[in-house]
Amino acid sequence: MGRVVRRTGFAIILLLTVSALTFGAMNLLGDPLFNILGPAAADTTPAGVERIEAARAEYHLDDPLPVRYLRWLGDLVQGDLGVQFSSAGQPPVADLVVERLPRTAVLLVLAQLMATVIAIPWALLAAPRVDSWFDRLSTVSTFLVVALPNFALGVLLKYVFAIRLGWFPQTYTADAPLPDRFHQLLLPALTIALPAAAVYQRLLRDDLVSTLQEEFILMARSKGLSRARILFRHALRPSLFSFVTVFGLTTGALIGGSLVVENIFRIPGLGSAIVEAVVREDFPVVLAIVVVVASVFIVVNFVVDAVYAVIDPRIRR
Amino acid sequence: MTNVAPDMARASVAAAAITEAARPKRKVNWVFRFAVGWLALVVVICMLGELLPFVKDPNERDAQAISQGPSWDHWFGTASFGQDVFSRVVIGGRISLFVGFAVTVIGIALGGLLGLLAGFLRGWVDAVVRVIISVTLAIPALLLVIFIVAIQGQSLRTVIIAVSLLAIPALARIVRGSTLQVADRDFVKAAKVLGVKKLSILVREVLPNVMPTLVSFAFLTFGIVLVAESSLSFLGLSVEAPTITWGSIIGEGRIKFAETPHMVFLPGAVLFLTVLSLNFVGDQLLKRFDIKESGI
Repeated sequence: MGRVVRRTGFAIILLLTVSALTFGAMNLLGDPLFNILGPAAADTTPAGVERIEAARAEYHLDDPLPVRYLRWLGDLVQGDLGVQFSSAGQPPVADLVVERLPRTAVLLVLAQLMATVIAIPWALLAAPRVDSWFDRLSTVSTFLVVALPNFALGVLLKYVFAIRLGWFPQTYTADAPLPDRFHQLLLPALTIALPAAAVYQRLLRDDLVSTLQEEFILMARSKGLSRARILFRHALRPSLFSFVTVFGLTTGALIGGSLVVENIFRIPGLGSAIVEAVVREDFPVVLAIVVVVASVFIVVNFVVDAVYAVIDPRIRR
Repeated sequence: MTNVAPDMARASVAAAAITEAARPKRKVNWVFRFAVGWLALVVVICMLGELLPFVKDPNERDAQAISQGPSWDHWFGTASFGQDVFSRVVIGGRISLFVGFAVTVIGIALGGLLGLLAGFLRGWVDAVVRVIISVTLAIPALLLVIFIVAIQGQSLRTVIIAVSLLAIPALARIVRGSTLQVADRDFVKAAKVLGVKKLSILVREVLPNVMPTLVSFAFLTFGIVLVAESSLSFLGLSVEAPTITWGSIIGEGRIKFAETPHMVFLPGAVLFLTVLSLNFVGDQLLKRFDIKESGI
């Protein structure tokens, strides 16, 4: 119980620190007015001055920084992320995030599912046959996949499966029916999933190899249990620890991957939103996306940590 | 994948101890030699650059040869204004490698120092360093880099600083773990009992034993940084044009992919082989340096 309270407290402190740092960085590094308005901050035409005044009022730029942070945080908690500046404030940043977050979320969940579904059977096949041709081949291929940059893999998969073979659509259309949109997300999800699957396979295979040396496995074998039963019932669970630890951390890498993949497959998700916002210098959008995504990432790691306690009774104190 | 590297290495070393005990040791590791050779080749060619007879001016336009595939005159084909892609890869590689090198050095120096102090001094230093690590790792890596580039503007300096912010905590985490293990060993305890000064123990006992891990991870970090920078320039958010990097060549080739697939696949292959070699060398060094307590 104490552990749960401690971890929850830690997650909340982390959320506050991350939001304070990003907000602080946005306001301290460079002119906040410029960071909000971009080049328009130097606009002296009546319309420009009006926008500058609007920004000053909207972001209370005359208040001290901590006050502004608290006000911004208060708005954030109530779901108000401010207005976009480059497209005349419409739609509000919160609406933009709400519109685009589900696509990225589905993409990531799909990718994690694919990675897990690929990695677990693969590791279970390789680990009992240590040093066989299959095991060596899979070690080599994980090495190759991990070294392959996401964008190269994405362009390659798109070329082969979408352009040449035509099995998948090349881009994403937001107003297509649900099954079609799902179909459109499969190839992008695979692009993100493959490197993660390779990492998971290697970890799980290595841990399984170590576990299979343990005495309780020898014991199970001498009882005459079948190979499959030993693998699934005895060896798998104690081998899952590093896999689960890394699962949360990898989500961060996958989010990075989705930034690139959304760009390749033209998916209007959060990743493409932030890239567009950086190019347009629309800082309220950048700040909102960074804070929202970092919060989701922290929550994911918090949940993974809880799962860890479920599979490892030793740390449930 | 920075964040998962230590977990992977740990599991991999443990499993290798089991698998390799059964296998007779080969004297020459050809893959390792090939990897080192490739890295040396890439570094030498990129350093020499224009001095080499087969490297042309990367920005020279040639209306006669627009978007051509690979040929004897243009090994990697030509870009959309007839520029020689091979020369662009060589000159662009200089920036990519420079970013990789600079970030690795900064990461090793600062991250290594933080990790070493945290693992050795423990107490409040450790607490502070752990908070720094957790906060930085709480923001997805590429997102953090993009955030910094967004508020600081796209320049070589910003890209190096941004990617370093990703490398420092990751390396600090690894070095901290490694230092904790070393500091627990008997010879360090013995030195403490003998009354050796803390600084002296740190420099003469702990550091040499953490060094191998640090060197291995330097290679792995280099690879990760190369990919991070390339992803950034692929998205058009790294150093601005006309500066060339590997990622920007690939990003450029992708726009008219049907005409210039060679601009994606050939520079991509160079990047891939380089990252692969760095990963392999790092991984092998880690296994070679792995000192088992029982073996001493």
